[in-house]
Amino acid sequence: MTTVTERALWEAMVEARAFDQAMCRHNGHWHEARGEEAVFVGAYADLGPGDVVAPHFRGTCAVALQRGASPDVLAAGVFGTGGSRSGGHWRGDICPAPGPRSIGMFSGSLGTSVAYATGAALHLSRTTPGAAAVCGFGDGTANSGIVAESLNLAAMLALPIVYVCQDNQYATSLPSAVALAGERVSDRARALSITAHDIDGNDVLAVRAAVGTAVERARAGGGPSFVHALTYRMGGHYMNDPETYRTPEEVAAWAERDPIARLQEVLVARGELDATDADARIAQAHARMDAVVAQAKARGEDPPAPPLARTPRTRPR
Amino acid sequence: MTMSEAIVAAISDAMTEDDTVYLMGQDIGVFGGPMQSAKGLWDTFGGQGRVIDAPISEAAMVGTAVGAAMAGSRPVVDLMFAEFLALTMTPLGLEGASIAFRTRGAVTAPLVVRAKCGIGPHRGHAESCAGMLLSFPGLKVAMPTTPQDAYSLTRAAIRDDNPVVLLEHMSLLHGARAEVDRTVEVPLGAAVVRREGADLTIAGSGLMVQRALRAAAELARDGLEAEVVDLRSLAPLDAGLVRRSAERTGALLVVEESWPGSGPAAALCAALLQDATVPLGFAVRLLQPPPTPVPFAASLEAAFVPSVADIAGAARALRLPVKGAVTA
Repeated sequence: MTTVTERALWEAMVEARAFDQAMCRHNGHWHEARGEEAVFVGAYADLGPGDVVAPHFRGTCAVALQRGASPDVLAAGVFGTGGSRSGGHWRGDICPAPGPRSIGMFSGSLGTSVAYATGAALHLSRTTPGAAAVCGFGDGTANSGIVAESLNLAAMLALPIVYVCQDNQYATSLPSAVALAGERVSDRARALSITAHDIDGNDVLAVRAAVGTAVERARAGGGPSFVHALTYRMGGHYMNDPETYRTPEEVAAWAERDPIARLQEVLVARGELDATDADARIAQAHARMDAVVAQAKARGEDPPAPPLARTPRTRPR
Repeated sequence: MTMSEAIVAAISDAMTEDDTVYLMGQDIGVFGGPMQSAKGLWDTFGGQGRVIDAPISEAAMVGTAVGAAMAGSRPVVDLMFAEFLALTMTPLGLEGASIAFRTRGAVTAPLVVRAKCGIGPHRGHAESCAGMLLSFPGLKVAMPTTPQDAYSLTRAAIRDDNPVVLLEHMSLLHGARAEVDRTVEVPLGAAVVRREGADLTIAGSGLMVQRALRAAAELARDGLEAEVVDLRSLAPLDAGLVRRSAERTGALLVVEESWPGSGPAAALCAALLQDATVPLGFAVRLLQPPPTPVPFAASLEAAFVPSVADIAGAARALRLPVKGAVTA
């Protein structure tokens, strides 16, 4: 099933960060994902178009990029201008590519998309043997009641789904160490007899391997799995976050574990990537995404497309 | 069929025709559903995994239905009682009903939530939460009062591409039997005149339609002919039919079993007034319960919900016939 090379994983992380950082420069409402790329790039890398993705909102545009979305359309969606998929009717930062196999958020509430992904997995289990859903959410969302209800239902019905907790250790300002009673968020899954793995969420190869194993289980009818990927949010919750709740020392310590640099070192050591070329590619990606986002922002006064009359719906089975 | 049997027949027919339809709810397996709401479906569809006994997880039942619907299923959720709807409002009202708008129709969420409500033999669980449902744009709400409508509205709800709540009144579910024509289509959003009359219009839904018909029979003995409109759908609401009827009769009595602050009566009044650049041309009176939780004691419950006598009294007050009046 795996077709994506490790070099391509590195490129996807670079592209994800380039889009993310361009948004940081141009959009004061953006939720920065710097530092968490290994989780959302690794978790969705090997899925096919018939599988369902329901990413965490932090990184959801990167998953859409990975699945072939155009950065111009994504950026238009984030600004809600002409060219936006939703015609300005919804936020492209948390729901960039809604479709029958791509679940997003339809309000600011967290946790419901976990139920939606579980429901999509129920649909797949009845109609498409061998297909699976992968669902991302944060450590804060893990405390939402509907997440517990959905996990129980998935275990009870042995649904083909992999839950990926993208644990960046903060729910806005509340540390997960405070918010989560018990040792590990994954213990909640174990309590439901859901197979759970705790992994280094800054190691994209570890994420890919753990999610890959879980997806294979799901495809084979083995039911749901839970992957707890410990990572760190290098920026604030949003662009104007005063970040009074953590120390610069803590942030600096996690900067040492940057997921892109880590994989880059491995690839350079193996001779699969030249260090100078890598730096040039990174600079190119940032320049390209900055131009895309700046252009989308400049179209701010463009009216979004008018509402469509009823659009025929494609209903994949 | 009774209304309850008609709803089960409609679900059964939909499941037979379309294998993307499934039913999830509490106690709907071998138990047959609360108050027999899924009677017989387990025998036919249980083995196919299409009648799914759910744990007490209302938000997840509806949330998974929204996700399954986006992915291509047409789920029906048996929520047991409408008072549980409050637990489901984020996935159902705030988000599920918004998906078609948010995506400009590219993604829709065709699901049905069944919920029993209203006073009745069951005692308790009477709250319909109808006003709450009407607050969310895009959320459709149907409330049948006859076995035929129960069948046809259930089929229409399952066929609809957006979330629909089917409110099933517990006083009517196992009431009068009637022939059901499975080919009759009743669209969501179309009210119907149950009894014609020239002197005033009484509009309501659920049990209030039955009581309005009995009140109308009583009023007829006094020479007052009431026209009774069954709203059938609370959202979309057929204000046009109510307006035309009231313009003809000259008076409108709206009878409601749910709370007065917001709900079908308030929505109907807003619809009638929103373009009233000229006087309406008919008198309006609302007959509603007080703004309290539904009380439990039988006497208090009876005082809470408009009775046949209450309806007849309100109708007389609204339009007293002047016996022996001489016109020039």
